Formats: sequence, structure tokens, C-alpha cells
Amino acid sequence: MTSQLIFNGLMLGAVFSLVALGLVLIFSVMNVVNFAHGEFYTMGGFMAFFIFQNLFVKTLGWPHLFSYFIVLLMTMVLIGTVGFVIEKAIMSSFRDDLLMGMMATIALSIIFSMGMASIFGAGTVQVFHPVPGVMSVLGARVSRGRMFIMIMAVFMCGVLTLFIHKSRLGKAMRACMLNPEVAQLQGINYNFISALGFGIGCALAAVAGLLVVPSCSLNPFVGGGYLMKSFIIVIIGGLGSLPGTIVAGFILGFFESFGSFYFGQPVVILLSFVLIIVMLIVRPQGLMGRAE
Amino acid sequence: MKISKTKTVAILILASMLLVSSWAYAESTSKAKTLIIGQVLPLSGGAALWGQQSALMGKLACEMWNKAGGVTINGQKYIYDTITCDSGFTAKGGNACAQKLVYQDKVHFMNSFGSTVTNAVGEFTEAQKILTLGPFWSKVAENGDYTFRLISTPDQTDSAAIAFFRKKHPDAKRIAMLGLNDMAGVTSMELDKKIWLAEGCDIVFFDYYERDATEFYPIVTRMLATKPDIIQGLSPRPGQWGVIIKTINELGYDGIIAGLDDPKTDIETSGEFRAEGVYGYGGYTFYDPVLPTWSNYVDKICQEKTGKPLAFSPAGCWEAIACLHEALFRAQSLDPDVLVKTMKADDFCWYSLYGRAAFGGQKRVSIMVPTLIGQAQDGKYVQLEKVESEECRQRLSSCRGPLANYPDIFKSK
Repeated sequence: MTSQLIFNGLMLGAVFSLVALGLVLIFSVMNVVNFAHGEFYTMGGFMAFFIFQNLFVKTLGWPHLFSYFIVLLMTMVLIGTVGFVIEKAIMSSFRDDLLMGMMATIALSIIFSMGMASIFGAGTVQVFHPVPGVMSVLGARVSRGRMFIMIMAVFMCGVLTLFIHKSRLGKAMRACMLNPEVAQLQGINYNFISALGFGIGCALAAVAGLLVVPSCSLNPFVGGGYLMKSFIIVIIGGLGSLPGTIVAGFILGFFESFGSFYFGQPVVILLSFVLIIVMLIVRPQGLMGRAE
Repeated sequence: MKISKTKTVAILILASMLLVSSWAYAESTSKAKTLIIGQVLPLSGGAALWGQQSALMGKLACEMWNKAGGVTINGQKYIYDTITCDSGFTAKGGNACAQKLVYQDKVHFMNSFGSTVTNAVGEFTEAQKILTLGPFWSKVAENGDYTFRLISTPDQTDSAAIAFFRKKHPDAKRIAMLGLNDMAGVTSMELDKKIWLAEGCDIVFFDYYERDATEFYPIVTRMLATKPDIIQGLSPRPGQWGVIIKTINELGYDGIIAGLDDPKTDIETSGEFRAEGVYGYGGYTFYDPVLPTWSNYVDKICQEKTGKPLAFSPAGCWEAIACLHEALFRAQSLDPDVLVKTMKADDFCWYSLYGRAAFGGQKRVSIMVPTLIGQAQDGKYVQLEKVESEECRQRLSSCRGPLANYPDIFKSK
């Protein structure tokens, strides 16, 4: 049973980290809390439903895994571009304005979710796994699809970390996270970096949706649940800390897995919020965040 | 081409007749007053599909009865219309909607969806004597005077279903119960627990999950550790139980599962396992040819407009207008007290989506409907047994009618 709980924790942690990473990235670069993050997750889910399942596999008969990777790339580019354009057109006016930014993203969240419900219908649909079946690992039963999500989530976190730390654009992004004014004095185009950060954040949420939806289900409002979890992770990990977010994602994953097993799900939800309050009192900057 | 004089006269007479009849129709419609039914529905959130279907059902029922001539009360013709408000499936939303519909829109009747929401709506409608009908399990129906329930309650369906499972699987005694953490979930979980215990079974697992939950691995792992013979799921949202079934299967359970609530959606969302062998008992499939022709027609419209078959709960919103129409016709009054008395009378019944239906149960505020028990087989939902309670039989045998005017489709079966 312990191995099952560990695997459950790992699977949940990987998903939580991936969803929360985009939220942290946007906050770090723009100082805006993106309440529409869950809707970008849902958009990724619909990419999986319409492009991967209905178009590539069912209509064109392409192989599952190949189609899935193509859609993964398409999702990153398409949703990333949507995010980039939204930042330029709307969100750029609210950089560093936490309250107005929050209001704007709440409005975007409602527009997106209701828009998707109007266009795609409010029904719940299922997307099939690119890798179906169940396997046994160290006595734990794990679906191959979940294992795939876990590997992909860890891979995506790795790619993002490398991008942020090793690439020129990533370094510019880090500079803007630390101090936008000084970064601009060094010749960094903050307007571009901010839009790029927003785009990457949205793309990460969409990729998370694309990966997770085959294991759960999809409807236009499904992203809301992950948004709340992302906030918990961000507070535990530390606002603005990417490594903190990954660590906190896995902490929450294990907390949910073991906690739900021993105490039940409602108690775990309650304890998650108690944990937030304790964290805010004892260590407001989070596990790996910077103190003001 | 030459047209004879006789033909010309005939065409002219026909054209003038058409003109006169359309003028007469327009005249009669313009004189008709409109009865507004306020609809409090979950148009956003995880239950939005049910909200969309409910809104459609309310609108469709109005159209059907308006086409059939509406209702005439003491010589005054009335037609029906709806105003819909999004409750978000919360008490807060229900409260706001009720205030708007009652005080601002001044609706004549109310159609409310969901137990928690109807509890909130009931605070206004009961005080204002506004007749409220709809799909919910809320106790406001028993505690109030003007609230009627149009879906069968767990105490009607679940005892029949549990008796069926006990007969079919006599050795299965370890029961795991997993329910949605809302008013309907808690009510049905507590009730079913008593029924299982009375049947001599052990409840080895009893827990709730949250409305927006999408991950079920932790709770299902915990449930399966208790080694249940039967897993019963209660009060989920559209498709949610399918995801739970998928998780249960992925974690290697091969026992009995009961709980398809929205069978087609649940079978779809259970993925490659197709909910094989899973039982359902609360929900109806209105495309089933054993149901009346008008049920199949309503379901067809619903599938065309929402892409999904009509679910059991939203059907209650169509039912509300069908029932109200019969009550108005019989009572020949808009007085809520007279209408309540009429609906509770021994001889009251109407054509529902299940065939003839009447009110029964405590205080006679619950629709009496037979329980259909079904199972997912080869990816399809198959009806296994129809159980009609003694009360249901008695109520329908004492009923007279239906008497009101019904759309033409009701004459076909």
C-alpha cells in the first residue's frame, strides 16, 4: 500500500507542479495573479479533444503517440501566442497593478469559460490516452497514461528550468523578475519579456491540460479546480520561486495522497488551507521565496 | 398558361381564408396573457450541462404547450414563457436569482434546480406563495407549502435498487459508499446507509468527495483498501462518476459497482473501461423506446441542441411545465392555494416523460415514478428491471385523466 501511496503522490505532485509553474512565472514577471490560468488549462484539454482525438486519430488515422506529440507542440505554440497577444492587448496595462490585474484576469476567466461553454457545449467529454493500459510498479498499480503524464511533467519542468537558467531570454526574464527597472536600464526589452512570460505561462497551463485531461475528464469549467490548488502550491513554494513551486507541488501531491488515505479527502482540503495560514504566519515568503 | 375563372375564384377564396385564419390566430395570441416561469439553473460550473439542458427543457415545454393553445382559465387564454437565471449551483446564487425573479421580474411560478439552491429559493417563494416546481431533493418540499419535487428521491429509488442488488448478489455484504459532498449527496448517503444496514450488510467505507474534484486516486485507494464487495456512488455531477469508475478500474478493482447517474456521459468518461458491468438506478435514458413517444422526441431535441442525451435531473424542468399546465387547467385559477390543493388531490395526474405521473410521498409533494435499474453492457446502457412502488400504483389507479389539452405528439402513444 505504501508504494501505491508514493506513486499516487508522485503522479499528483507532477501534475500540480506543472499547472502551478505557469502561474508563478506570470506573477514573477508581471506581478499579476492570473485568475484565467485554469481556462488556459481547459483550452489545452480542448486541443487534445478536437485536434489530437477527433482530427488526427479518428479522422486522419495517425498513430496515437505521434499525433499527441504534434498536438503538444501545436498547443505550446498556439496557446503561447494567444497568451502573448492577450498580454500585449490587455494585460500590459495592468503590469505591477495587482488589484486591477486580478480584476482583469477574473473577467478573462469568465469570458473564456462561458465562451468555451457556448462554442463547445457544457457537456463533459473524454479524451483517450495516447498510452492506454495499466502497469504494476513495485507492487503499485499505475495506469500507463498517468506514468506518461508524470514523465512529461518532470520533463517540462526540466526544460523550463533550463530555459530560465541557461538561455539568453531566460536570463532576461530572471532579470525582469528581480527588478524590471534595472533590467530595462541594461537594455532588456521589458515589454517583450513580460508578454513572453505571460505566453509561456499560458502555454504551460495548456500543456498541463493536454497531459492531464485524458486521465480525468473535460468540460469548459474543469480548470477552476486546478487554479485553487495552484494558489496553495504558490503560497507554500513561495511567490516567484520556480524551484519552490516544483517542490511545493510534490509536497501537496504527497500530502493529498497520504492524507486522503489516512484521514479522508474533506480533512485534507481543510488541512491544506490550515497549512496556508500557518505558512503565511510563520514563513510568509514560502519555502523558497525571497523575503521582502 | 391560362387559368380558368373557377380556379381563380378558388385560389382567391383559399388565400382570403388563409389571411383571415392567420389574422384570427394573431388576434387570439395577442389577447393571450403570459405566465412567466422563473428558472433558477446551474448555467456555469461543473453542472452547466444540466443547466443548459434544463433551460432548453423549460423553453421547449413552453413552446409545445403554447403551440397546443396554451391554457384557458375562466375564458382568459394564457401562454407560457420563461426567464432563466444562473445559480452557479450554489445557495448564494440561488438566493440572488430568487430575489431578482421574484421582486424584479415578478414571475408567476418558479422552476428550481438542485437541493441547496431550492432551499435558498424556497425562502422567498414560500413567503410570497409562489408555486415552485423542479428537480431537487431538498426538504423544503416537505417543510413548505408551495414547493413540489419533480424527480424521484433516493427513498423511492434506492430501497428498490438495494433490494435488487441483494437479490442478485446475495454474498456481497461489504459495502463502500462514496458520495458528493453536497446536500443531495449527504441526504442520499445517510439514507442508503440505513437501508444497507437494515439488509444486514456492513458499511466498510463511507466518505465524501468535493464538487470540483478531478483527481480520485487518493480517495479510491483508501476505499479499495477496505476490500468492498459493492461500491456505491451517490449524487455525482455529469460524467464525474465515469472518472471515478475509471480510477477504480485502474487500481484493479473487479467487484460490483453501482451508481451510473447520467449513464451515457458516465460510460463515455470512464474511458477504455466503458463502465462495463456497472449498475445504474437513479437515472432514465429518455431515448429508450419503452418510454412514451414524446419522451423520445424531447430527448431527440435535447441531443440536437446540447449534443448529449437528456439527463434525468434536467427532465424535471420540462416536467414542471407539463405538471403546471394540467394543474392550471383543472384548478381554473391562478391562486397558489387552489393550485396546491388541486395538485395534491387524489385524482390529479399529468402526462410526464415517464407516462402518467402523480404526486405522492410525504405531504404528497414528490413525483411518483417507477425505478429503472440498468447496467452498462458492451459500452451501452441496458435496462434490467422496472420496479414500481405500491404507492405509485395506487396513486395512478385513483387518478382521472390527464384532462388538459396536450400537444399532438401525446396522441401518438
